[in-house]
Amino acid sequence: MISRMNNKKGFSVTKQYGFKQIALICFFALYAPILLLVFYSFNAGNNLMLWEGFSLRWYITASENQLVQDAAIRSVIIAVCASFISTILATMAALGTTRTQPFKGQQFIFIMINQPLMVPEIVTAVALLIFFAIIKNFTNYFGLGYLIVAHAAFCIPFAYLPIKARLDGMNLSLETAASDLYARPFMVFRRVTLPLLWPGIMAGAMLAFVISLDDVIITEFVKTPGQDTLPTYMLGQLRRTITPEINAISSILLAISLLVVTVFFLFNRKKY
Amino acid sequence: MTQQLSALEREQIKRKTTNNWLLSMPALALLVFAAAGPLLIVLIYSFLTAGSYGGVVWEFATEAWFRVMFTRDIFDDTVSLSDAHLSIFWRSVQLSFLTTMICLFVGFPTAYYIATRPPKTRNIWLFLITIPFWTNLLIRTFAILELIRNKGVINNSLIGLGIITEPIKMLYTDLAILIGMTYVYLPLMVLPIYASMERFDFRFVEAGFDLYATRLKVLRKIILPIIKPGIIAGSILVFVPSLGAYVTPRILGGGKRMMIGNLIELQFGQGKNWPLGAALAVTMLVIVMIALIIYVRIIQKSENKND
Amino acid sequence: MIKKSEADDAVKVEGVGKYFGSQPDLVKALDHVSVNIKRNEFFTLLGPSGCGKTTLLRLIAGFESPSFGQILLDDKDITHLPPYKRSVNTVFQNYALFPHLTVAQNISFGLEMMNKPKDEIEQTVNEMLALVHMEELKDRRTDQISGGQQQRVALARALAPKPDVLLLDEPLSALDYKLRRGMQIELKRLQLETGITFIFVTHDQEEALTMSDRIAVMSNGHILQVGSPDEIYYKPTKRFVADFIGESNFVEANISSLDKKKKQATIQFEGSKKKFTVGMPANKFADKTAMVFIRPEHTQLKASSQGAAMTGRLTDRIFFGTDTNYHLMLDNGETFIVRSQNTIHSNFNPAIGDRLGIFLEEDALQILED
Repeated sequence: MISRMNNKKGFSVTKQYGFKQIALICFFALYAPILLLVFYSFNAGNNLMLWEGFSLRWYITASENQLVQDAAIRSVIIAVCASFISTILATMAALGTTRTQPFKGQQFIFIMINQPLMVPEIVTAVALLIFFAIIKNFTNYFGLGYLIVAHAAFCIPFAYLPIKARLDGMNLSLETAASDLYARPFMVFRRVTLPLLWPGIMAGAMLAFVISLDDVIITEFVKTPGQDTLPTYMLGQLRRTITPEINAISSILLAISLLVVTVFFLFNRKKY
Repeated sequence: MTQQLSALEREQIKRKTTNNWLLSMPALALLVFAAAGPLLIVLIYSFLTAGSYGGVVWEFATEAWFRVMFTRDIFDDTVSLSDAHLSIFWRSVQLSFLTTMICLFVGFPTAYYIATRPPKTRNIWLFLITIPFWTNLLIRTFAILELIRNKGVINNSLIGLGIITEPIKMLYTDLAILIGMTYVYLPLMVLPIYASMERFDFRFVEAGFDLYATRLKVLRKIILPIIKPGIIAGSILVFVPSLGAYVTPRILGGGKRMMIGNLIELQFGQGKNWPLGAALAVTMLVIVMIALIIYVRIIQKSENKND
Repeated sequence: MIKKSEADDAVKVEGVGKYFGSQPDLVKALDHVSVNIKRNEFFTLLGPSGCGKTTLLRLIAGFESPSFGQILLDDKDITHLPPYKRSVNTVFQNYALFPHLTVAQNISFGLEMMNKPKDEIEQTVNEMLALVHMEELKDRRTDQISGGQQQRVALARALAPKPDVLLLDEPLSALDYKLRRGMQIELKRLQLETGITFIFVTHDQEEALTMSDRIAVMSNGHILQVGSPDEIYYKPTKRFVADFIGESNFVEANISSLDKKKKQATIQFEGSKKKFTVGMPANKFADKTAMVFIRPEHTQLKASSQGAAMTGRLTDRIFFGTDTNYHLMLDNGETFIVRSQNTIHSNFNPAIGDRLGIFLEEDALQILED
């Protein structure tokens, strides 16, 4: 039986007709709109689509806009707090659910932790709107707390996944060896588990940060009027007059996301 | 002579389980407080009466559930199906389904392509497909808006090239929402399929070719069945968020073309009917849960078949 | 060099069992095992995979608790002590070196956990590095050194805290042949130099024979026999032990007479008149026939069957350089192996199919307990 593979020169087992073309079109289609958006943020003119020369004016306008400044600061505060809280909680949960004999209720914990990924955001947003409205009635507290708590909650699964993945790849024999060498459980954690887990924890924190920064729906429903984050500010602007200021803000957010994702990728690749 | 685990071992296992639970407690507590718990409140609210200025009156009523699908004529009290609501449900399901299909037809070859690149370039492709994933939903929707508006890039270029004289109306149509959702959720289809493809052993394909199969047959009979879990995962990851989409239909559909998400929001805004909004939210949740259960069943069945 | 003292037992294992799972899927990894390991000795647990040797090691180390039974270290009950409270250190099969620490930091880890003063730690680390010849690589990361070097670091790390007992879990299995041989000599030397009790786990019988002071042969969660390499090889008490170590022949023979007081029997092989006197274990007194055991090197092959114990047809000849194995088919269909040392001038050159006479050393014949 003569294999066909010997007949054709350079026969590729993996090639399928048209797939390469579709893939390339797909990548082009994914990036073209965003690149255009960034491109037009440097538009000197007022009109969104009429190019009138290169200028940084919209970036300057955006940075001088008080509302934008407030929204930006608020976004960062919330993202930092939420990512901090969710990463710690996710790390603990990962330590409790990984590299262990199956125990009672493990499935339940798993579902609960990943629940924000399974429930449409609008449903959670509505639920929190109602719930916090009740609390607001009782306590009269109207601060950033609600947003931070809400963000921390839905960021947990995003922090959890890379940490758990990293933990799964860590051989228990290292901790056993440490214990064999007279390290008590806490020291084992501090000197072996934690250092080795650290890249995963950082990756999780990065992810949580980006997710929080980008959130629109839940923030929109949970916030009190005036408590805008960058995304909700932009949402509001989109309902009124659209100026390239939005392009500028979008480009900055894009740059931040890009930076964080790059760092995330680097952390994820660290071998030990 | 002991037949089972000793008492000591049973105690050790119990201690370990307690430790595991203690570690997971804080995360669970926060999630119950700010994610899962409030869902119960939604359920409760759907059985209450709407307050005149929004909010609720704590009186039991099934009116909200009734209003999900039916309307009562104001004048003669006849009950009929709510056309407005039904058309919104239908649009949501239709658009979500179409989005999923398009993402599948574009996403599968893309995932396939990435998985068949040499390892060095593969990481770059992966990085490239991941970036849109982490880009703000709003920004991506806005980018589409810029493209398809009457004074947007597409229309301006076409007019500039002289192909058309009047702008094609694309914005504020169902098509706009479809384009938007496809654009937003496409990476979510690619990544799970890629994960499946990466683990796929191409020696199966070699065997197929060795036995005189054509490329198409190899695709249909060898590749697709094996990576089915990835395809299903991707489909769920696109269908579920599409169904619950809010931002994209709002920006690209205007006020007139609503999906379930917008309908829900309406009840908490102008509609001032919180119980109805709650009932609609629960309905959406149920549909999503059903889709997820179907997914888990299919995965389990395919795993049993592999045994 | 520290003299081997016969005095105390370093480790006593008393009636230990380890069960996993529950009925009906109960796995008895260890089933009522008892053994005493002497101070300063190089003791080996030998057996095929699944026999329980690694489980026993882990119980001594403290990584798991026995389902029942007791383990004593220096006559102190350590059965339920956690590993960090036992003066026992382990060299793991996969080395388990800490990837985020250097060679020197790995070695000093145990000493740091014991809160030893800094200069003592430094001195000990340098001693250890010299002991395993790794001085130049002390600041290297452990994923940047070869397998053999990792092995030595694992050894140094476990020896640094100067434990009472060192446990080695198949530490040489990942090394290639030459390295392995070299490390076997190294380990033996180290054990003699430090005087620490070594408990060594392996499935390689040759390794066990060359390195150990005493061996415990295990199978299916039981210890079948404990003894010096000599005893295990020349006087196996069970068929499994005889089979597992070296090559063995088992042939059925007729019992013509039995002396119960002397515990001896006179036997005769099928088709031959030659009689042999063999020691007979008490539990076999009632048997009509006996399964006789003899090692191939205690037999001889001659062209003529005059006065031979059995006759066989040559089916195969395997040349080993120093020796040759002759595989024969006996008249009753059983196989038999004769091993002869090769000499330069030999006029004994049988062909496949020849009928040859098999001669046995009477003293080497044994009837085993099972």
